[in-house]
Amino acid sequence: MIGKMLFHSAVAAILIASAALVYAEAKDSEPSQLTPVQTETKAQRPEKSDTGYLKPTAENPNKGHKQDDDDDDDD
Amino acid sequence: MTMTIERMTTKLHHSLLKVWHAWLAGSFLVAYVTSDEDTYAMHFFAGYAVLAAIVTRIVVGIFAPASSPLKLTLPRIGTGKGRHPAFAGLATALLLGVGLSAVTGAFADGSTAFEDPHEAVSQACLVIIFSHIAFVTYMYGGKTWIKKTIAASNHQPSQEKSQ
Repeated sequence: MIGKMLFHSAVAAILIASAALVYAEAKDSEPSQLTPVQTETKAQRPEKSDTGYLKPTAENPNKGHKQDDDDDDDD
Repeated sequence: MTMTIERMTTKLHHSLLKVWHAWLAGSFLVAYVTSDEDTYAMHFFAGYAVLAAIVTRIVVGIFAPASSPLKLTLPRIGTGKGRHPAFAGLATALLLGVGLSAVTGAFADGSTAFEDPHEAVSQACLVIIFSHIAFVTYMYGGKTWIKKTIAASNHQPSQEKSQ
């Protein structure tokens, strides 16, 4: 009886080990589900205009900017 | 006719109990052997197989009919009837120990804080498992073998004296 029990347990161990091995192999072969790390949010990312220059993000781009005398592009 | 059906049901339940025993013992063995980090996926699979076996046994044990060998009963000490109470005592200790080991293992999958308790409980389970094997071996053969060996050793010197 004890011998039978040990034999049955050994057979079950082989079956479970085989199933576990298949599971481990399947887990190893599947591509990583991790998403790439996002370094900046869309809100932080400045939008580029067609000309390659940065677009102003605020309604008034000069708001908060103290105008200097040499800011004029008259020349 | 009713007796035959009843006997067949009991036999089927005994067979199911043996299948469950093999499932639990086999998956625990695989989980123990694959506890290394390199074989973590196998350990994970076998550990959940142990947990599933324990949950199945408890659910079946609760809902099985009272006459079924699958029925879970509390160990009774000192009744003097039926099997030795250590059978049920060790079985209860095994269910609790292996169940706790499986549950802490499932928790350890989510939190590293459960890793040490899981390892400690699993090591303690080995003591209960070997006690269970030793007790069953003693009850189903060992007892008779020891009696025979003692009887043979007592008989031998008297034979030598007579010669």
